[in-house]
Amino acid sequence: MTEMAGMAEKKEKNGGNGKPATLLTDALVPIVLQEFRRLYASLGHIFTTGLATAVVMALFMYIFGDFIGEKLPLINQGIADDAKFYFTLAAIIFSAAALSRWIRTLIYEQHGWLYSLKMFGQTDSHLSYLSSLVCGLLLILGLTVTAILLNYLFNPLPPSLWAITLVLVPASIVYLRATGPRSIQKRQRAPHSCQNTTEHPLVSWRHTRVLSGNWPGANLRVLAVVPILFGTTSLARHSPVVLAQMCCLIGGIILSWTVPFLIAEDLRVTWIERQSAVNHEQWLGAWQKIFQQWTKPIFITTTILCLFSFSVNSANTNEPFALFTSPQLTAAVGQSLLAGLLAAFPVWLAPAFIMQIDGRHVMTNIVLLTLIGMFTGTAIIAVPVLAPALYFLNREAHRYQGGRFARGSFN
Amino acid sequence: MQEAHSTDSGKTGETRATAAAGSSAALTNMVEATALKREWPSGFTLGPIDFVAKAGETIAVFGKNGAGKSTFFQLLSGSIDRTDGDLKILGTKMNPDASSLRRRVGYLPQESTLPEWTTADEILTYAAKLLELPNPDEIVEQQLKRWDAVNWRHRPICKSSHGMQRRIGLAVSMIHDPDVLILDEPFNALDIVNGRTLQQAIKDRSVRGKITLISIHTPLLAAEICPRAILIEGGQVFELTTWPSLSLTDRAKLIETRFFGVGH
Repeated sequence: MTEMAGMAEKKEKNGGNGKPATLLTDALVPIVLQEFRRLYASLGHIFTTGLATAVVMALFMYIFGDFIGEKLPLINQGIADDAKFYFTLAAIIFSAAALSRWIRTLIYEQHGWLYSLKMFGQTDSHLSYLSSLVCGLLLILGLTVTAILLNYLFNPLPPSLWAITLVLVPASIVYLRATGPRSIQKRQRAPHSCQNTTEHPLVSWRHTRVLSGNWPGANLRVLAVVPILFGTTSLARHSPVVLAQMCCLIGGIILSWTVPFLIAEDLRVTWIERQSAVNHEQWLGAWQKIFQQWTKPIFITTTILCLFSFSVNSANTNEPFALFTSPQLTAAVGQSLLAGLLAAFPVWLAPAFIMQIDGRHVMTNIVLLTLIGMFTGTAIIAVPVLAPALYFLNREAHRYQGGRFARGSFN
Repeated sequence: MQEAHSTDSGKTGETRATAAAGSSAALTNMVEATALKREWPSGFTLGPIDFVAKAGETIAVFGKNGAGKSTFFQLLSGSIDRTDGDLKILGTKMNPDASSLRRRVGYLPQESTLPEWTTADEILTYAAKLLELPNPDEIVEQQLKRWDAVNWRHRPICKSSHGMQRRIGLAVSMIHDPDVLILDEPFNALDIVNGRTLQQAIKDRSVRGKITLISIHTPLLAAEICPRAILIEGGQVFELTTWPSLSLTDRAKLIETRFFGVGH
């Protein structure tokens, strides 16, 4: 009788399916195998992307190595140290945010690990314990790897950054545990109505449906501000113009990473538009219009910030308004315009390249846009008269990817 | 119209698609494909296809997964361009840039995912605006009523049932009352009431002289609603020539025989 009661209790604990569930064989092994299968299926893709990136990066260093080697020593030690610190801090915070996002998707989303494990008959207490364990392990592993990598790159990593890394692990776990289950749906805002605008439906739909609900894109837009602000304001501290321009370029490239996320999300539901006779040009034209709307404020703001920093720089000299009375004004305006261009062009150029390979592959497109931004931007910094070539690059790239809207869609 | 070769016609009554289509000369050729071909970079080739559909026809499209049905439908709807051959819809050449012609075709793909945080009302209004329909509000209202979605019109799609999402997909594909309608697995997830609504809508279309192509995996259902049937296999389209003259059960048996062999 006691034995029967014990069995019934055990059965109830295990979700009532009558089969004892063990954490290791019934939970961890299947999900680890599932991830290995996913990785194995993408192996060719990862290898090709990695190899292509390595080759192109090597080519970049070969072409621009001398230019970078000549310009970097011009940066004074104080500014270089500040740049290292703030970039490393931004990288650590970004890694924590990206890791948390990835873990949330992996574990809590519909058809994620918890969903699968519940199907395997795991109890709620097991699931709670397991989600804490996996969240913690993945975060510790991810942030440790990030910190070690950064320590190697910026040797030695300041103790304050190590401390921030250590604080971010428990903070992220608490956040994930608190907002985990069903949080994905709650977190997305229901966008406001697009029905009463005068814009073309294709553009207004994207403004209200895609942009407002895409969280990776929103986070990247915020992240892009960091290098642009750092670069432009560093000019006030007599830093070399090339540093400010490189920072603006990095900000512009980060901003262009939003494009693959937005396009991939959009392509999931474009059957509505294809069946409504929308073609490649119209669809991409709507995106191009949106990104052009972004380009103008970025260009203007960055240019004004640079000019402001130049004027502060000038005010700190013995002749406070020397900048505005000397021939240096022309140079300052020219350099500021160039910085504005470098911050704005990657996102302007992005739609011309987004369908070259496959609009559905976010990481591939991020790598592609990074390489294009690096090559083109560095070339423009080295030889500013090349800037008008961007127009021809954009036109030819658009022509080359013509008609790929249908091929790149999911349905 | 060329007479195509017969393939195993003794068992299943198949010929290449053009043969049976020529039987009713009084009807207009609304869809006409001649040596239509589409090659994919993966190596799969659909065609060359000769296919004709006349006004008022409702055609069942059978085929295994990966046989080329989706490619065939995408070509007909103008979503993708042909590699070779000719395709005329309503007497005009179809291609992805023929916007006004494409607006006369409706297409519901098998995976008709809808944006999660939108509502039925917003999606239908968006589709009506893209198609530049007159009185979009009135048309949206009609579609919502037809598909029994009035009470759920402001509910986010991700909070709606799978069946409701399918009904919204059907409403989007039929909102402009297209002359040619292509439905890929339209009965999936539909309940018995809305399944009947769809059947009625298809019959009404036929009476009004409009063409409907339906990919379907349930032979008896296809037998009931489709007076004509074609089979896509190995990138080729075959007409099931005996289909129109058979009883409902014999039509179902024909499909069983075709896929599972005699004596199954």
